[in-house]
Amino acid sequence: MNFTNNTFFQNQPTIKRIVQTIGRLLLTFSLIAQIGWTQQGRYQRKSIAYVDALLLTDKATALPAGYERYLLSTIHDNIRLSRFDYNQLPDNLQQRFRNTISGRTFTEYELGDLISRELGPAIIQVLDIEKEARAQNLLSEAQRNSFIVLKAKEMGITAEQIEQVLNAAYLYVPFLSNYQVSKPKDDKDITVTIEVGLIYYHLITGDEPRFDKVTSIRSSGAGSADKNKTYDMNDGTISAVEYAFRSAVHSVAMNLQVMTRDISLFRLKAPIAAIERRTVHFPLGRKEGIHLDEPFYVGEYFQKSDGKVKFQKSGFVRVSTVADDNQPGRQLSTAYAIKKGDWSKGMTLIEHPRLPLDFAVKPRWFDLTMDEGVFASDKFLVVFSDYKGICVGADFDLQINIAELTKKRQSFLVLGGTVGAASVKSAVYSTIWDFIFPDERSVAIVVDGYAGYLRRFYLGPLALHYEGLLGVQRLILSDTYDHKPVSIANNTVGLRLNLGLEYALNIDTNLGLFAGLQIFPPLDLWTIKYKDKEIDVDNLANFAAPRIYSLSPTFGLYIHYSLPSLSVNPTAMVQSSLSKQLKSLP
Amino acid sequence: MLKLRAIFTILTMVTFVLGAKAKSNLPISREAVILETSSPSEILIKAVGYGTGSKKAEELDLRANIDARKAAVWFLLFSGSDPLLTTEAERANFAKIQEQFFEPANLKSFICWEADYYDSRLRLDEQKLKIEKSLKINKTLLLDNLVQRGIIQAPQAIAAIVGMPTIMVLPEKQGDRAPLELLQTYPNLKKGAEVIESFLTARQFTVIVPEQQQALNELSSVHFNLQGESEDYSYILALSIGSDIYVTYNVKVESRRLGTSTVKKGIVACRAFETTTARLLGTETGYSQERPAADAVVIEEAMNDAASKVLDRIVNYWKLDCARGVQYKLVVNINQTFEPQAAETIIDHFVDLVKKMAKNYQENAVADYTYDVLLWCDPALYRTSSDVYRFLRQNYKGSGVLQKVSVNRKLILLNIVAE
Repeated sequence: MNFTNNTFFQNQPTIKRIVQTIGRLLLTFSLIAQIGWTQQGRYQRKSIAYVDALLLTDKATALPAGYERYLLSTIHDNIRLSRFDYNQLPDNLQQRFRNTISGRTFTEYELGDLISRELGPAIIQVLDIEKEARAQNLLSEAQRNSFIVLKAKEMGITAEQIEQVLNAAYLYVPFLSNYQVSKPKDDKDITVTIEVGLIYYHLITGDEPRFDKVTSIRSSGAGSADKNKTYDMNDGTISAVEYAFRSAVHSVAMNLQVMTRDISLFRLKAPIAAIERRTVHFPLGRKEGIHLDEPFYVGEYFQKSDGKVKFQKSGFVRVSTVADDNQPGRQLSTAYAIKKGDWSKGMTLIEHPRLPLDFAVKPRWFDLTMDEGVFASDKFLVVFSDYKGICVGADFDLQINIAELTKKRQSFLVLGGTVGAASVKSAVYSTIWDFIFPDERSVAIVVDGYAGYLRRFYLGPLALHYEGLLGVQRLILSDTYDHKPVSIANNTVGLRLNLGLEYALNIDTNLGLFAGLQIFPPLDLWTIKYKDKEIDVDNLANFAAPRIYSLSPTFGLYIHYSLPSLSVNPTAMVQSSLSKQLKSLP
Repeated sequence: MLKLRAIFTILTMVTFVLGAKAKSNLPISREAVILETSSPSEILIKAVGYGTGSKKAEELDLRANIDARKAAVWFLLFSGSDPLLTTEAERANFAKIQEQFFEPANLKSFICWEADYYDSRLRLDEQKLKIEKSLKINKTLLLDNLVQRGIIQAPQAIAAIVGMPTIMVLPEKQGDRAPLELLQTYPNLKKGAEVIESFLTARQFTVIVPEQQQALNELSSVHFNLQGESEDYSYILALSIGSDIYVTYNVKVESRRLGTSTVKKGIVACRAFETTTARLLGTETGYSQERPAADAVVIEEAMNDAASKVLDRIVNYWKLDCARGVQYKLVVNINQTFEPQAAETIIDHFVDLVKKMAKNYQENAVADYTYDVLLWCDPALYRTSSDVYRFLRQNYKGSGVLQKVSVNRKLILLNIVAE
């Protein structure tokens, strides 16, 4: 291959090619602009075909056998959006295309020509069969009220709509530009990093059909797995590398889905059909694949003094009910206004694609109590002093939106952890000298890991939330033993209940305060990490064990951000499988 | 005196301020376009509306909607090739009630459908919104309302005076083939005739269906033959020219391939003529959208487009013509046994009779032995062509004998033969 991933298909085009490219681009942009303007404020269905073959930007990035298939299927599953009609290409054609590209080098133009030659006629054939049925979706309201439909009872479609169908066909080609496996010796985890992209082409029908490049998107992702483990999956047991690879693939595929939805041609748009207080009704629904809680900007097209038309945002909404617009009649979904401007009927909603998860950071304070005591194992003796004071830390949460599952808007599965510090005094006694000259530590690290449920209620830009979390809290003391680092941790299991008040700063970010209660009772459970080994141990001095607990109020700041992409998404695999199952539901 | 002057000044200023502030109900926008004639009474229009004078989006939206409705109605009343208000008198009458007429509540009664969504919506500045939306207006209701208000004359009123015109619809002649033969041979032409006839009957014109007319002609012919008499050709001619207006049309269906589908576009041209003078009253071409549909569908769509406009043209012509009186065509043929000078005297005599009888007249041809003239007579005195013939018969005192060749609705053919 003679192209690199940084400047895609970096080749020196001839003057003729430059002229051709400019011509094609102008034509494409004028077409796009025309489509955009004539259908201002309304999404027009597009049809998509894909090449089920993976282009490699470098031979070095070649994937092990079986990985490529997994990567392609995962990407296709994620890009299979309801807003598109799919032009399924015949298997034999796909195979022929795979064979053609295998082990060959292409320039961008050669690739475009190859796709036009090999796949163009097949896509046109599919479009041809489907065109009249698909054109039905493009009928305007006036056309549905035209005499031709009312009286002649015909389909009512015109050649114009059929041509729109033929001209709204796109194709994407997946490519892989990076694949790396990292196995550090001092780490039990293996990490796979990949960078995958999609090149989107637009089919220009006519006497000589051809594909013009629209854009290319790319995303990188990473996945980790325990290199000493194997993983049981639906399709059998897989190695750690493959598990890490799959995890990375899911992260990337989800990112690419969001990026595809964010391409202006594919972004959902709809006019406001009605407004009732802070609820807007709009004509999008299941057919376009909208989901509860998805954010949309609201605004209007504004003509500036220089004649240019610009979309001016004046607030945003989140979807509150999804209509089944496959049913006859006027089916409208609703959304509630978070930030409401001066809105009226006819203004436009524009999709703001985001991953269905928010990343929250919550700096917080809570009390930690320690009643003096002793921890003793066969090697260590740790003496704890009395302590009653605050612990300062921060929660780092992933809030996964599960509204589609619970059918309750703004409901989230929370996975997170806390990192904090408390000025706890402790000393590890490993030699006789330690008894004479104790080396007392004054800081202990507090780490939490938890999962739970969060529900949020918006009242305009303000929101109230409650969350219940179950988790493990660990107080960690670090010291040295025999000149080697050792950490001794006391573990406890408990729950947290929080109430929060947030303010939506913008469509992606909320800022607020929260207060809650955390109940982590004293438990005599200990873990020691020494010489890269972490083991659970019993306290031999359990009669005099320290009581470390946190039964206290907690309060802090709250900030969350809706993510457009996430390179390392530990929940991606679960989310993908969940969304696949939801898609298969009737 | 000073006090009075001050009061007067204040009153004048208040009146001026109130007058300036009083908002006109007339549309700001006058932009509209007919998308389709959905049925003989319903017109689908795309109209532009402007919302101004407020910073609130909802208010601007409401005002723009109202303005779009006004623009659509305005367009039907005043714009396009065949507005409802055609004469100066009608426009002047309407001007007196236009503020009241364009009250939003009044306009709503003419709108039978309004799109839920705008075709486009553009904010032009803080206080100006432009929308484009589709509306369906019931033109018949609009027309009835104008008649009720006395703005325009009801077609029925015209009918009461001179009768509604009788119209015959025929396909355009192709080569040597007669229109009736074409109608029987080509279903597309028949479909075209059906659509125009549907429009005509919906508007209460008297329609002469050519096939039926021919059947009647054939029946008469058989009747005469049975009696052993020769056919009365003049009667057949009278039947044939039994219409005041005839409409000819041609139909074309263009098709092309779009993938594996054939899309068709219907193109029809409609021409209306005054029967007696062959004067062209109006020509319109109608186009259908290109559709993957049967010929009949695209023909109907194209014909809807053309027929509506042509019929508007006919109504306008009829209204204007009625104001001049009832029109007749008189052709007097003088037997060539008369000396040219005698024939000239006879013609002079007829000219005098025409001057006495007609409100208005126009000579088409004055030859040595032929006098061809168009007459506009007072409908109160000469309601039918028989009345005209009777007047001529009773008042002709010249040489020779006045003989009737044929008298039908519009055409009076007379012969002067030697005694």
